[in-house]
Amino acid sequence: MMFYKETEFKETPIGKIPKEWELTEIKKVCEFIRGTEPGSKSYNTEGIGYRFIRVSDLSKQILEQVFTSEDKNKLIFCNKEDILLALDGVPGVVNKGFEGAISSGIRIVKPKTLNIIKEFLFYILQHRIVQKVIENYTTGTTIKHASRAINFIKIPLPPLPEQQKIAEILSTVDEAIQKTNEVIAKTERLKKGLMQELLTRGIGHKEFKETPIGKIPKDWEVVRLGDKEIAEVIMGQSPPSNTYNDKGEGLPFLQGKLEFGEIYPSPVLYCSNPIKIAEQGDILISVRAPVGDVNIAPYRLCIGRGLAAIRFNSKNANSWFYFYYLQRVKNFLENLGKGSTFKAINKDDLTELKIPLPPLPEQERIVEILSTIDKKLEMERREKARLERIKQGLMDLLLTGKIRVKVD
Amino acid sequence: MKWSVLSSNIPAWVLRRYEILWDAFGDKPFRFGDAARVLMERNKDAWEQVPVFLSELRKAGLLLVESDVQDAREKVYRLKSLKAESKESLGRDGIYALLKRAADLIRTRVDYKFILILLFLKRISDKWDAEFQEAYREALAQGLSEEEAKAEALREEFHLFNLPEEFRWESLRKDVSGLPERLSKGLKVIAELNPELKDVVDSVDFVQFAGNRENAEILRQLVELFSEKKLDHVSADVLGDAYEWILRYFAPTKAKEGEIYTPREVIKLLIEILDPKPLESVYDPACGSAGMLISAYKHVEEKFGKEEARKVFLFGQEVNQVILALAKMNMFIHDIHDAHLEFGDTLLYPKFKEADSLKQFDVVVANPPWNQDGYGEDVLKKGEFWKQRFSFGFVPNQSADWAWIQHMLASAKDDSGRVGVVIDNGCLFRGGKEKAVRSAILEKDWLECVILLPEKLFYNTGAPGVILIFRKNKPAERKGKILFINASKEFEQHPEVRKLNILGERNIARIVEAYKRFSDEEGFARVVSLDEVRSNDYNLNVTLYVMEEEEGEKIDIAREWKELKELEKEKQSIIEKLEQYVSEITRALGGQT
Repeated sequence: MMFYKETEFKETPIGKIPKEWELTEIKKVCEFIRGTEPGSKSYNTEGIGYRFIRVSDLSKQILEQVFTSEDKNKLIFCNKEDILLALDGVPGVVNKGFEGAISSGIRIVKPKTLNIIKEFLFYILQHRIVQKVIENYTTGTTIKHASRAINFIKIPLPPLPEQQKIAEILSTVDEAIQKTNEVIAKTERLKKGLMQELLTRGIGHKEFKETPIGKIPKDWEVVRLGDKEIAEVIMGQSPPSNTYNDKGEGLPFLQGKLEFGEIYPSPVLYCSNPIKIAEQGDILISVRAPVGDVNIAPYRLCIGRGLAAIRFNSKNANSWFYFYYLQRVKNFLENLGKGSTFKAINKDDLTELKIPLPPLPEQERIVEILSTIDKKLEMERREKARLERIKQGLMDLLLTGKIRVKVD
Repeated sequence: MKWSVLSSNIPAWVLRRYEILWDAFGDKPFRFGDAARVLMERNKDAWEQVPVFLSELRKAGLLLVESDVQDAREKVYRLKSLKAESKESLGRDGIYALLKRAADLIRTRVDYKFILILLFLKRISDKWDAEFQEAYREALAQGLSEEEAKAEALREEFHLFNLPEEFRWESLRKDVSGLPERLSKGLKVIAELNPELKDVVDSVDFVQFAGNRENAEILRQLVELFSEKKLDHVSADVLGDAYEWILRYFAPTKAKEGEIYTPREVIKLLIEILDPKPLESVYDPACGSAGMLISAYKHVEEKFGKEEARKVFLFGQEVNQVILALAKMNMFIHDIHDAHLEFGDTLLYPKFKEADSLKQFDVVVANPPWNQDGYGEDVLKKGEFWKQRFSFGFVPNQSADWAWIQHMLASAKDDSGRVGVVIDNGCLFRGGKEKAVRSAILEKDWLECVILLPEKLFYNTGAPGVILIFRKNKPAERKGKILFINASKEFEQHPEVRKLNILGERNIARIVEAYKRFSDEEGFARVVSLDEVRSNDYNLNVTLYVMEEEEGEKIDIAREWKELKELEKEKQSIIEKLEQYVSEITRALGGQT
């Protein structure tokens, strides 16, 4: 058995840790190498010079990659193996796997003694023990700084072989999370491909025809969204703001796509005096920039000026089919909106919208396939969330020594 | 500018004389007397000073002295050439480098028109000097004495423009004091002596400009900068491009002030589609700095040669005096001397008439101001020829788009007229009065092609523009049909301005090709019957007829599925390992060891 529950603890300034473990100030065992600030005049996005890594790159907000043409003697470089810690902007973010020059808001954290290994360091930095101190020593309002924190961070030091084992286990979780991300990305791509195929070529057709909306199966029709047998379009209207409340009085209220989810929205406000109402199962579509996002109404709710509700005639049209179809014409709708000042689309833009009409049974089969893959996506996302919670739990048990790893 | 190491130690006053002598003699031998004459005339040096200068030049290593073969007492002088760049004719890159320095000098503190006028003045001064030199040498060759030859070369018939000496570039720059005043006066006098330059060069006030000390210093630096180079050897082509370069460089800043500059690539696309030919007339009712007209000229020049290009008749009207002046200078700099450019508000007072009616042209092309307001029925009725021009209906006060289009249609010849207009997307589908005009014009079956352009092409708006091509007499196979081209994805990143897009050469070629073929191309072009347009209530929105190709690539479902299965297998083995750890830890927590 690899693991055992620790029973002999000692009190330390950071809480209880196993008697056998050391406690040390982080500065004593690690060096912090600070990056530089070459100045935005040297920045470019054309790839000239060295890749420049800023705090926002670490926290994975997807920005353009920035390069700097600064002289290499004035830069500090990191490689993929280095641990990077942000102490400005978003203090506490830890990451690795970057290569290039780092900004002054970032530190490379390297072991400088023989009693700590890099892999262990990577995880202890992410733990509450370190994060709490950084938080406590963060100053500044618009831009946060936490460089002082380095002086006050204390970390536990298990024996080296144990550090190794702990790092191994935690990196296994990280691998699992990473793999799940890849599975999610692949599944999303598969879904996109299936939508491309099923929503334009249907299932098992051999003959196709040209229409104003492109090539579609011969026995599909082309209709307008506003046709009586197809759907009714209800444009939203914003009630007076003094009828809004967050106490649950009246109906849930959606102004626009802000509260949209993957499929269903999560309204935050209520309205006691709704004017335009969407029924359960209606498709909700945003009509103001950004135009074209769709969700399904999970229950009766009130819609504001940024949305429209589309109520399909179930005799001919399956709401879910069009929920998927409308996602594919988002660009088209966006373009329609560009002509106007507010980049919004109006009722005519929706009612005049040409859409395909497959036979109802085929619509339903297509929905089945697509919703199966949606279910898989949902499952994978939940698994990812679970894995992240497991990681937190394991970090807590292993890095504080509540559970020890046996080393032969 | 790369001077040799020598020159960096040579005083400016010596260099100046060197330049003058080099200009007169190049590296050919000359005598003291020749040098003296040139220096006295061009630089107002005194006779006694000449030996001193020559001596300095020799000390600086710029002058070679030999004895005359025939008379040992006489000396023969020859200049040594300084390192290449400084005196060779400027290539295109050299000019752009020069202009960039000028632009950096002024940045946004000073109006770019000053650079344009200085460039123009330097150019015509240099040209005048070159014309003088040539006439002088020819007169000498014909046997006239030096005095007579000089007088001869001064005569107006040898010069494009009449430039009195005190206002030629060399004189102006010699004396730095009072430069703004002398520039201002000079430009006024030049305008008086040369009627075709009236309202052109004197449209900018240097005195007011240099009233502030910083500006005066900038002016002095600009003059020095341009003096470094000789511009007379630069071809009209290169100089014309240089002029355009300045206009384009300042376009983003100018856009904020409402000065509209049509990207040259958009103009190129339009002109290639309209394809003007020799002996045709080309008209731009909102000509701005004459970009479209000059492009039409260049188009014919490239296809048929310079002689034929001079047989294209260019007409333009512009409502802004200063911009019109720039247009005229632009024409001169491109060596186009017979364009007709008029001032005035086209929608009210079109200036080109034939007897009592509106003059008609073969090719009518424009990028009028988009969504101009203030030209409702009342206003238009106060102008001239409104009955003839706005026969399809008046437009709302908020947008004159369809008034411009009607004017352009009325100005096109009935048998061979073709019209190309760059306009905003909205005019394709807005309702109300505009829809009435649009429908009426559509029923005439003059509309041949609608092209949706990419976003962010223009300096003053991110909105996509469209190009409308009309032909009053469509070829038979195109009657009753309209070609819609969705070119919204045909763009490249602008090389200089990050937030802008540009139509690349390939993009232009693709669009022109599609226009010429007039056939379907999935996701890009579609021939639509007039009937279908009618059924869409005369809505011309391109995206209604041509949907772009799908986002990204065609996804191979089978392959993606296979890869997904593999990923899941990999994940599975990691999860199994993890599960082992977790279950052991759970057991340990339970108390067992």
